[in-house]
Amino acid sequence: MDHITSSPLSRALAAFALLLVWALPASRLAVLPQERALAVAEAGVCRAGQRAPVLPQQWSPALSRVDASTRTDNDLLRIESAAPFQPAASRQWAVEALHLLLVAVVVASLAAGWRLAPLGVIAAVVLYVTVNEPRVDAYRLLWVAESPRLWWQAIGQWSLSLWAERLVAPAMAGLSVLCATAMLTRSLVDGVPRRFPMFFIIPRRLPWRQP
Amino acid sequence: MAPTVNVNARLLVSLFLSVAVAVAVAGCGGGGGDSAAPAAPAPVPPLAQTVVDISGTAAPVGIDYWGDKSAVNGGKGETIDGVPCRQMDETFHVHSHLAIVLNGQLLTIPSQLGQITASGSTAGCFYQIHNHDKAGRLHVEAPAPVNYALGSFFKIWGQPLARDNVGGITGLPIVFYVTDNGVVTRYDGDPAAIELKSHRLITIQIGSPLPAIPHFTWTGT
Repeated sequence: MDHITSSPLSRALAAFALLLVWALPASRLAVLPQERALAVAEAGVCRAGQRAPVLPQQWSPALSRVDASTRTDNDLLRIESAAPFQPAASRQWAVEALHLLLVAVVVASLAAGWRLAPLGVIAAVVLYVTVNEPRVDAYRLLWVAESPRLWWQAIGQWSLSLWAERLVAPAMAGLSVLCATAMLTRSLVDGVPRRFPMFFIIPRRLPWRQP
Repeated sequence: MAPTVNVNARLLVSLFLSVAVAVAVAGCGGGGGDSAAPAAPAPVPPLAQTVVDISGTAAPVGIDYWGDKSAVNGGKGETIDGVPCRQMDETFHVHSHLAIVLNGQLLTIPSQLGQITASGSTAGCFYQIHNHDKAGRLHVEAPAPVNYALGSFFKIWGQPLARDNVGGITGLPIVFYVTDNGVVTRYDGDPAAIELKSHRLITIQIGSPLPAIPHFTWTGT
């Protein structure tokens, strides 16, 4: 495997930014398939208009971890109603896990200094943008509010997940792509065989100045 | 004959210039003679031609401003402003719409305001004024007809509402509009007293003036 000539700092920066981009999807992986199925089932019940019985027994991730001996009839009923949603939830969880595995491979390849790692970074960012529908509300709000005070007041009311999704992820996605592009450019310049006329790629020395 | 032509031409030119100057002066307001007169209120914007249907569980409207932690000081299940928090009873069920526009940009009203989730041994409940999604539609649901006002919703939300402070946004000009049956009116009273009526559109303009009032519709009441 060829190794890239980019500095460890740029590789570390790209890896760090990529990890921040994928931090929120990674945290969502903690919600296991059976818990997701329960949530989908209860959301369906809400949409059906039978909202009253749902709220007193609000779904919580801890429910599926409740010991079988302590489950009430209501709990069992809800777990049964979630069963049809289990396969789809399992597939969704597996796909998300696969995405994160790919990101982990990209980060590992960056650490190892593989030549194709920057392309992997760009692919991982494209995957994030495709799957997660990026929101740049934090930046749009800065433009709209026309006042750092108002902007900060708004951002201050956001949860950590909103910060991660709408403030950190867009910026870090941009930084990742920037680092990857810089690494690719440098790799291209340094990796071109000497017999190839360099001025066709990037004219470091202008032809008429060469001795 | 030549001198006569010149005199006539000069007369015509000076007449034209006089008229032009007079028109220009009139168009500019005639100087500062009436500067002390009170400025006329801005005209009421028309209702937007584009109608947004928010029936059912609609997609979010606008960009996030208040995020998902804005209701920490809101209702916890206690009766607020005479609005109780109970199990849902949809005998009386009407909807109004709240649109808050900052410098021309719609802001998202957070979802699930007025919904208290169960915790431990405490049962959950719905305030009789609440919302579900981020489309801005406010639900008034009660066992009997009620007349609730916008101020109660903001108290349940836990955000301030005044003529100079909407959800903590201050320091900008704020204008309230109410649209009933397609007729937009400027509301100059206490915003907290705006009634939540069926299909009423309440638009709060913060900052720059709106070219048109956002137009939302939904099926049912």
